[in-house]
Amino acid sequence: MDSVISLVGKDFGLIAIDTNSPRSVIILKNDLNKYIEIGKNKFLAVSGHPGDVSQFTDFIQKSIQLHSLKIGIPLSTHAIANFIRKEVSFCLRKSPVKINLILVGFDDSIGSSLYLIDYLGNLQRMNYCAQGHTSLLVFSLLDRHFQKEMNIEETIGLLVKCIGVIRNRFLINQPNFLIKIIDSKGCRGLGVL
Amino acid sequence: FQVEYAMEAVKRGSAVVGVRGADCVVLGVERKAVAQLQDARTIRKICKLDDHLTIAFAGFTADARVLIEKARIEAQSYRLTCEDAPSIDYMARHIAKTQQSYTQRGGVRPFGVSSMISGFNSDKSPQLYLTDPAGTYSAWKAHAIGGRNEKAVQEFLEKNWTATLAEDESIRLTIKALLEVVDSGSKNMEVVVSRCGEKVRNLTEEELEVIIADIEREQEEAKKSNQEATAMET
Repeated sequence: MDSVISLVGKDFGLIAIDTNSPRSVIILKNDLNKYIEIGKNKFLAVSGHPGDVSQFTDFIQKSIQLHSLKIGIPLSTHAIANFIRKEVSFCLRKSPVKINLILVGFDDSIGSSLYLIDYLGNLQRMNYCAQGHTSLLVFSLLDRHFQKEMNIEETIGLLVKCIGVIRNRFLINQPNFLIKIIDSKGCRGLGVL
Repeated sequence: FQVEYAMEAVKRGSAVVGVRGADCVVLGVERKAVAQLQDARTIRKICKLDDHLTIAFAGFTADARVLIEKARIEAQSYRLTCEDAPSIDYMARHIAKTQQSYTQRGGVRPFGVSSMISGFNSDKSPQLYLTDPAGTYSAWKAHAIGGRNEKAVQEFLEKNWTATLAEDESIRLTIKALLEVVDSGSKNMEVVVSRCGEKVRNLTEEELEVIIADIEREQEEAKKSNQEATAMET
């Protein structure tokens, strides 16, 4: 039910997440933050069952913090993505976590990167990604209009188009999309669309 | 007996001095002279337990490594269950509990480590905690462990500590206390300052040099004026 759209631009990554918290047919809360910040400029957007989401992402965040304290230097996005994938795979054959994660991070050496880890333990590095039922609507738009190394205005323009299509065609009302940007300065919000 | 041997190991370790100021905590360690080919940067005696807690130890480095590892995991585990940073009292109690459990089991020996933990309470007041191989933990205003004359440094601290030390005064007191055991020189000591809510600050060699030069100049002048006073008397 959650919608997450994520794109990678020139030296930054952008995520739009819907802020609804549904419970059967009612919206419990419409300003929920469905993300978690890991380290200074790594960002995890999660979609799935709320209980699994809290449990799993808290565990990931604290494990990665312990790791950075032990080693003394922060982990790269690539390492974090693989760590998360390992944890998901580990739980898969015992008690699977029903969550899909999009990890966006900025490393000084390689710039911004986007990784998708889905509930089966698939790990893919991508340039753009969408999660949830709305991915059916949004991927075709992203396929057509996405270009590598777009600047912020172009990326936000593309996001606005995607959210427009979601508002037009998706059955469920998702009034607010929280936009977050990750770049060398860290992770900050760009507002709500 | 084992516990006494462990305490002896601590006495033979390099000196650690901790001073609690009015709004900061300063930890200073003696960095023993390294062999010519050894990379001095890899010897870390002051470690981060968590973002807001720092620990310095005297005694067996290997034992300390294991203890700090356990403490770090405990800190993150506390954060995972309670969604809150562990208090310095909790961490000191946990480390002391771990050290004690190794004094009362078969087949293990106590950790030959005494540690000093610096951090802040929830009411932003600075705290300095000490743990020893027997497993006791206590809070101190200023303390010294390890080094050649632990007692002398402790007496020096007792004489000179006041309740209203500002940050630079606390740093000076720590360095002065360290100079009692350490040969002069910024290369032989490492000083770390914690302030509530800010990142822990490691004093650079240049800063240390400046302060040490100042302290030595002060001591020279005091000695000279003493000599003049005694010369005038005779």
